[in-house]
Amino acid sequence: MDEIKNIIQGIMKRVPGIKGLILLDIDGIPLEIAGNFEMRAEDLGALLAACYNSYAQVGVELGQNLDMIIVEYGDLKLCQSAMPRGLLTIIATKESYLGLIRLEAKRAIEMIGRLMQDTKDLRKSMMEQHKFRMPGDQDIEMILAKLRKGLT
Amino acid sequence: MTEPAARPERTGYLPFRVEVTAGLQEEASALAAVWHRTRMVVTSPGPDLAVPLCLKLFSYIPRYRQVLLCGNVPKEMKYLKGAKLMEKSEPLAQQAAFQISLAEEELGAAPIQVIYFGDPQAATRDLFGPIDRGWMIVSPNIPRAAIEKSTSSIQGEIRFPEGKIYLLDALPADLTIEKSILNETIGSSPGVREYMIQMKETEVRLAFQAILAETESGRAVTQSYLAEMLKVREKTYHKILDIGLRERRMDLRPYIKETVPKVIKFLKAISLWNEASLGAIFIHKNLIGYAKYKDVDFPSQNFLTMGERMEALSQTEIGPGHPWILELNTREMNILLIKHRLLYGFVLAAGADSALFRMKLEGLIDELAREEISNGA
Repeated sequence: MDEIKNIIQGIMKRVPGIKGLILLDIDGIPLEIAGNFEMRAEDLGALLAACYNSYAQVGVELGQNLDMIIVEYGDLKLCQSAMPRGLLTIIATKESYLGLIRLEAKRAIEMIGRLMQDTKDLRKSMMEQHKFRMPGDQDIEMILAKLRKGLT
Repeated sequence: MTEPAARPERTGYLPFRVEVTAGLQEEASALAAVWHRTRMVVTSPGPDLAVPLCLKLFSYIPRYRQVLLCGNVPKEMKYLKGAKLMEKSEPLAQQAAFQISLAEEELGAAPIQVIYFGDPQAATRDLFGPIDRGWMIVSPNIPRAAIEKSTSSIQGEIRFPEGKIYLLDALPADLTIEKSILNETIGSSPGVREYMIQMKETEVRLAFQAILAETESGRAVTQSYLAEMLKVREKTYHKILDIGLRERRMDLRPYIKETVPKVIKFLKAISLWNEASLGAIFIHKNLIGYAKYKDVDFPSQNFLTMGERMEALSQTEIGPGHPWILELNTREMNILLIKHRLLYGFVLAAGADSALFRMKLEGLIDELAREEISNGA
């Protein structure tokens, strides 16, 4: 985990404009987080995984593999990349260069993928350490409802 | 069979095919300015001379770039192959379109080159203000003072018989590659010159994409490895990274382990001797130094393979111990492999005095061994 932490922290230091990185297990359990997020890590992970899985499903219908999602918000950019057993999400300022973010994401995926042979043990230790539970569909709905309530 | 019709004479018009009397420095500067997407204002004493100068610059634009013509485009330029004519539209909308195109370049879209015909003041105020690369304004009879007033400060000026080019960004300091291409094609037809320029520009772009793919893999990438694989010399290597930065806003230098000055000095010293055709230095499996002195086909990977076999042998009872030297003499070449702290591989010409070479090498290796050379990873 220390090596993965070093990779993530290295990206944060090296690339200007990056606000945060989240490394998720394929079920949305956060394995490593860098940056400040107001949401609970567990909720954030669940939402990101749900978004990714939705687009992956669209890809399946189109006969395509999903490699990367790029989202542009008002002041931020979000880049989400697939890994063999996880997802890497990078959040950066609007002024950041996407080319560089993609390069870092690809390099990180290669290196982390080699380190994460199997995330089962990692997931178990994260879940025990942070008292996470596996998110269900009802949980996702509750999270979204909370967010909507907060926005109105 | 009828003779082709004679070209009608036009006052003040210099046919594009005539060799222009501008010096090599001016030509090389203009080529570098276009290649590096320098912002510029092109002016001429009259409208008739602006077009030939513009056509010259057009021939320097890499063909993989998307050329966009806008403003009051003269009819001679409207139908240029590969150029897209932009219909006149609201400047802010055009500016937004350019900015989107520039943003897409980061993801690999073809870089744009905008050529605007019209007043520089209006163009920089309404159209190009926030755009930091890839445009030129063509406007006859504009004095320098007027350009300075309406744009950022002028960084340089290139004079041609047809007119002047005012550069709003600094040119790269090293124009060796540009001069080399132009020198090689002195006296050649414009077609051959254009071919040589386009070939180099395309080579540089493809090489950047290859380097990007290597860095994306997460593997350790050294400058020596790239020099061998892409078969590029040092100046071309730097040009590749500079153009990549200008076209894709990606600085790959932090991801590449550059050759240490001590290793460069070592390999340069050997270049002065006659014996060596090729030299390579490894730390573990990483190629940290590579130099090809003569035309020889010998992948450096072969040194590594031989070194691994020797190391395996050195673990046995009949092992040679450390350091060891392996010499293979063949009809075509002599191969010398030395394991000291680092692994050194050399290809010598067949019949070269390898004993003398080893004697000269000993001092250099001792000197290098005293230095702290970090792993290329």
